[in-house]
Amino acid sequence: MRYVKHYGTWGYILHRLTGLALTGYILIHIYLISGLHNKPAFQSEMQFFEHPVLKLLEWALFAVIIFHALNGLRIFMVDYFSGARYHKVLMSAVWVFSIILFLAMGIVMFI
Amino acid sequence: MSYKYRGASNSGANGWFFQRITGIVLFVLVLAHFYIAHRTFQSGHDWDTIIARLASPYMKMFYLSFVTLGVWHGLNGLWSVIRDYNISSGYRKSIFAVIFSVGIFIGLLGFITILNLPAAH
Repeated sequence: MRYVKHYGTWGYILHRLTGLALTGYILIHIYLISGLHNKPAFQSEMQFFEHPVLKLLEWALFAVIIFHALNGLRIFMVDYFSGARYHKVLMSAVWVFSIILFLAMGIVMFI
Repeated sequence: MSYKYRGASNSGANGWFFQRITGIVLFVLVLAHFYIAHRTFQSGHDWDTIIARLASPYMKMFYLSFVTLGVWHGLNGLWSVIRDYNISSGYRKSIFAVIFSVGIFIGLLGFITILNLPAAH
């Protein structure tokens, strides 16, 4: 599939990619949490998530979620609040707030 | 929803509409989920803490909603992406059946996990 690159096109592409990633994530997440019925197995599973690389992946997960959430809000505004009239401002706002919240979460998680 | 959007029953208009409604609700729920899991006095990821946290009926209600809406929104999104690629109708039905089954399976697994938690020990 070919795309014409307008200002919002990366928003469209990334919304799909982050959405697909999050769908995969929620299915795996629910499956892993269902392991609560077995305490020792669950505890050794959780040990694995203490690894620093997994911490970084958790931060990346936050980036994916916050972008998808803010961009989803933008889509809602385009659909129901005449967002098409100011869509470049909205798209820029999604990027700015995503990056600020991503960095802020980095401070919360690692400092 | 008004009559004019109905069109063909498989037009995707209902999926489109509910994708937006669930999306707005999930915006709030996912932020609450971060807060619950990471920032309250009951936060934590070890077995005992999770069991204690999920003992509350409010938590159970919260997570039953979250599982339902999250799984539906994710799989409906996946389905709408797949529909954009003009797959022949035979394959479409099979793909839908697979997505639907995964949704039922994971949804039930989530419900059973929340409603059938072991007692703290």
